[in-house]
Amino acid sequence: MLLNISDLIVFFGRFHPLVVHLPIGILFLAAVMALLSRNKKFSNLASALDFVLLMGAISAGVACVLGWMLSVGGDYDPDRLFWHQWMGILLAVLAFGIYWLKTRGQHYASGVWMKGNRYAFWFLLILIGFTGHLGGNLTHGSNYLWQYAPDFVRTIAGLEPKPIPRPPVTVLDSADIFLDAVHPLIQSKCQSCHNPDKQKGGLLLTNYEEMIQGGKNGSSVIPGDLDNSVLYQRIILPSTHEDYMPAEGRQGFNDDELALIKWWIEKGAPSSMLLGEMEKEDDIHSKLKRMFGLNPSETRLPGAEVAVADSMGLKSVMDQGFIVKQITPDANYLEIRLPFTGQTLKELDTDVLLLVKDQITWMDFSNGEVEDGDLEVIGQLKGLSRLNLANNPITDSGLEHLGDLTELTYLNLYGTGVSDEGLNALQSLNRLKSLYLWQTSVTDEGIRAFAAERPGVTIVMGHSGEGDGQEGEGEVPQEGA
Amino acid sequence: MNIVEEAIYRRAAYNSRRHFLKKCTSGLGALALGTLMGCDKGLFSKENTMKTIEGFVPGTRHFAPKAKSVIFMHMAGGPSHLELFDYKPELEKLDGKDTPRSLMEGKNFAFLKGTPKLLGPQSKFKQAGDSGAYVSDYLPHFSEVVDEVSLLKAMYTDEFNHAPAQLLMQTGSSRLGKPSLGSWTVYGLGSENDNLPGFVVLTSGGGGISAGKSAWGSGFLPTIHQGVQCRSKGEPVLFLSNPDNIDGHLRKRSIDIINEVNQLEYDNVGDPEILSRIAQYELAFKMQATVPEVMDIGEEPAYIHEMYGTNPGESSFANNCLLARRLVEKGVRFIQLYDNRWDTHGVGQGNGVGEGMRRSCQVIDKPMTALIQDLKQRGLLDETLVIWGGEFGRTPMMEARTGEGFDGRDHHLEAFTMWMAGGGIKRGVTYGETDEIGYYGIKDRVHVHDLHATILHQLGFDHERLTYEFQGRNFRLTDVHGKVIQSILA
Repeated sequence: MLLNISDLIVFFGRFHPLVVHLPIGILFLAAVMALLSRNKKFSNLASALDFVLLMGAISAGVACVLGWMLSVGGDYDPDRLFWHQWMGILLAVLAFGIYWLKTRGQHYASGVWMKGNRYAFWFLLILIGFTGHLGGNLTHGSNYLWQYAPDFVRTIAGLEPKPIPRPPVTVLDSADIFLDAVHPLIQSKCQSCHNPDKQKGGLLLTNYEEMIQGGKNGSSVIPGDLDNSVLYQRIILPSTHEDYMPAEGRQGFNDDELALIKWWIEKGAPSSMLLGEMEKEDDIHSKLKRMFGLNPSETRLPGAEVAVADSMGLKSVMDQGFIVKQITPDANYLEIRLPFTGQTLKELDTDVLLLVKDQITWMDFSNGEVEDGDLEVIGQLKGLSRLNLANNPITDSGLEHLGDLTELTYLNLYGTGVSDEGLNALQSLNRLKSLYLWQTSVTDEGIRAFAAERPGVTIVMGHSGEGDGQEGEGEVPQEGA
Repeated sequence: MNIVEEAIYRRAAYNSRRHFLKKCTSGLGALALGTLMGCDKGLFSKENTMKTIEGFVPGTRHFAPKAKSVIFMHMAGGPSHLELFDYKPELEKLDGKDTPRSLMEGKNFAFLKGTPKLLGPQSKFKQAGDSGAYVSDYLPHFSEVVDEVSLLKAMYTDEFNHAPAQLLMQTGSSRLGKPSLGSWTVYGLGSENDNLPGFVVLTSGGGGISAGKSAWGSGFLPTIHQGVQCRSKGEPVLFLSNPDNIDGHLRKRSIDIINEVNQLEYDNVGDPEILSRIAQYELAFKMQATVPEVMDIGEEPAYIHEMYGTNPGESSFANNCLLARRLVEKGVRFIQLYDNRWDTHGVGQGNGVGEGMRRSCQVIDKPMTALIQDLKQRGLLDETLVIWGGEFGRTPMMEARTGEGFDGRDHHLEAFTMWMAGGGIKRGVTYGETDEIGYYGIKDRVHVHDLHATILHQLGFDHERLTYEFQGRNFRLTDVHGKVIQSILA
């Protein structure tokens, strides 16, 4: 394969940011040596100065050539490049000039030189500083240096104080569609290439106006017009597609994020609007909630946080034989179930559960010979969100103890002795979502009565049974919101 | 000195002490370098064993799970999506027409050659449930529970042959040696019930699956995490019961002694696999009591047998479904069902997607429907993830290796249907869409890696963080791929 010359030039050009540190270091050293050698104590430095100066001058020359090669690639703004380029060349010329004056030129200018050479070195130092700073700005962006500076430093540098981050979203409706949802997304996914310093494709994406204005390929966002909004069209391409954005293998948008941007454009791409004022379809509503992490019920854990379980208490529970596990490492909630050894609640001391009563949130005591008396203890475990009491000899009177379990979302009573009457005690369970009543004495009528009071609860009966005559399920419609 | 002795002498003279030392220097240098650079993760290093066995805390999920157990029904052979879920009236119209060249060019098929004819769907479709999803008349029972499942209609894979495709589906890699989905699950979650294996495999349909036992192997994970194959007919686990004239007491003593010997060996060489071995002996002894009990479906009431269509003592998919539910109740984490009857090439009468496939469907329809209903009425579906599917789909083209008329379809990797239910998956949702003839997924395609990512997500794991260090780097089930299918999560 033939070598592509322009590629080759850029290839070498990219060594510029590496090589450029040689003249910076060496010429800095030369200047320091020259200035110090005027002092008697350091006078021995003078003998090495010529050599160091020459090295610095040569490396500056090489850096200039490489820098020019890098600029051929055209990734840089010509206006901003101008000063860096010419100051760099001036620097190299100056370095060679000083070297020449110091070694050969003494005949011509000895008097003036001896007096003025220290000014030449000071000028060299200043020039190194400025040229280097301009180069750094080209590579990293002009706000790189000051981005994390304390505000008073930023003020001196003529910048605005650091932007105040928006407060985290705690209520969905009080979040802003653009400022809290779309803009942070665009910032994290697009801004590393579409900022004032890089402007890939002539496109800026740092604020709303720029998104609407677009770049070389036209308007990136056209309110209400998905088909012509180039930004959207390119982020939904398959990641292997040539035009896919974000480019260069960066992590793209996930399904939720794509849906959000789609929805935002469809809704007219407002630059600021509270979500509470917008009409949200169920689908987008749940996606938004997920994005803001506002879905405590989805985690199947209670909303509030609890303290770490008392280790002695936990040990007593485990010593009884209960299987206890922490549900996730970042919360102190526990799940608990009976041992698989065939031991039932009859043989275990239920009272130990009260030692960790705040932490127990999932409980599976199915087939455990749980009796109404035990429910008195279980009813005190206020953190319970999932409770499985299937196949136990419990009755309506036991259920009365469960009325305070307001966190309960899942209650499994299949194969128990409960009947219509017992359901009354469950009406106060505000968060209850699913209730299992297969193989109980609960009748269709009882279910209807309960469903009338608590329409949001899904009641599951059975698909099979011994002559209970209940084919299908007594299920009521899913909750609305 | 004869010629042989001379040869030996010459050789010995050549290999002088100097040579020996010279040769060794590079080798010793390499060994030293290896240690210096921290490559001491060898099989025999003690530090490593501490990390993998003792440093691992079972049951540390990344977030609260939706599913505690998984039942994965793998229809080995690749059932045709075009006869079961992906209704394509357009394909019916094109029945018997030549396949356009553009669909064949650059594609790999196991058997299709030249210009095959298109084959219309051989089953009738009907919309079912409130969701109105199309379900084939091959699956009359299943259409009753279609509102419980999420259909993934634009699944795709990378492999068009059974063994690699099955390995990809089960281990996330089409090559041998990676841990299976079940092994990752047990590795991540730990076992709930110490008296049963955390990962149980049940097979039906005759013969082994193409990928063999590697499909439930533990790969580089400690072997304690590999799947344990149980049988629904005869002894549930082979060689588990005591041999003649050996009673439980003697058995226990001999296992104790074997474990003591193994422990000594471990103290000497530090190979973590020895610890796995010890754990396996102990588990096997406990299983002597627990396995026959849980595997005995005879104690189930008659209406349950009626519901599943089970016959105790038989080896069948129905029995396996019922066993799966029993195992979930006993805290088994991962139950892998293989049913091996779905390779419908149409190489003879009853081998295609017509009558043959209808008969196959009769075997699975009732039990898999019953499994969903039964789990639901027991309140278990809510925390059990049920997955159904094959390793790939079938072509819209007819395969006619042995002549037309047998309604064969070849392997197809671009599109197939799977479904998931329970365990925090949305109910009555269809996700993904294929083109007019069911050849390509055109919307919301789901790769096998995405499926894996979703399964782990429901179990409480970030698939990018569930890793195991092996040969110097961290490995994942999803390698560098995988995206959780957020849209089907409740």
